[in-house]
Amino acid sequence: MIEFAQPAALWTSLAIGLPLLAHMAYRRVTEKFYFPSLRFIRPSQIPRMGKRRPSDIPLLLLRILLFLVISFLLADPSWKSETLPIVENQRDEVFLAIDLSPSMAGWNGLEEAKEKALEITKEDNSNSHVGLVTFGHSTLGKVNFGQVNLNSKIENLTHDWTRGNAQVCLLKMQLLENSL
Amino acid sequence: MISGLPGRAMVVFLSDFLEAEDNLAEKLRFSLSSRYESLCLQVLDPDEIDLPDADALRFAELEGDREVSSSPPAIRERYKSDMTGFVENLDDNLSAVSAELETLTTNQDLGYALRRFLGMRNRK
Repeated sequence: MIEFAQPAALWTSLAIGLPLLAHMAYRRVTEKFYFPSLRFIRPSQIPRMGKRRPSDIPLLLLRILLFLVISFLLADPSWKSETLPIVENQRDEVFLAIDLSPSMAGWNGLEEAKEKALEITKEDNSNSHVGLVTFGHSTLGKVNFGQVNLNSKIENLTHDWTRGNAQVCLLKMQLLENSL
Repeated sequence: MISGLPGRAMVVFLSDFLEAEDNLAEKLRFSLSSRYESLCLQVLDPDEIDLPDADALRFAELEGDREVSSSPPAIRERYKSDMTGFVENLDDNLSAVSAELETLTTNQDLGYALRRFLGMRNRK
């Protein structure tokens, strides 16, 4: 099944009206005709040849097709397989990212985060890879804790006194995910 | 021109007469003399009479660089009216100096047309 990353770009397909209009408004380029005297020849409006039907249908279709292809490509299409991946032997991957920056010290923020993290680890099954990433003064990233070690690690988390960098944390998480 | 003519002569002019019609009658004034006759055969292409069948053309002057883009169906009526007026005016001007005008088209046999015309004149 085709999916579009930028479906709004499909609106550009309305631009097929442009070649249509161009063909409808097309005035034929007049062919040269040698004439003895232009004395009584007056310039006149050249009739629009495509007034009733577009001229040069194959060329028109080609231009419409070109616009459609451009719209299609602008929409960034991708093919998504209908079949679901086989997950029997695949384990879940859980990453816990906990902010240890000083702001977490206020209003019991860190304690709540730890509680939530512990709830998640309880719900987690044994097939899961669990990773913990924290960020404060330094960024910690680790995977494959044992359940007890993980809980112990979470419970012992304390906030830092210097500003953390969430971006570094996310990058770390990506590296850990790739290492699994 | 008269000086080179014999005592009695018929002068036949072949042209489209599309230019210089104002001076032509004056040049043929010798036709008023009983010794000379002038016959002007205007030879035109059928397209010069009715305009070619085409939706639009770029008319290019044969003896110049001028070009005019036009649609024959749009100007045909006016063109024919102008042409008819021109030929009538030319005929009047030539008649005034006793010259005769006959219009022929290039798809006609010129020799046959000339013989027919002369035969008709002789019958008169």
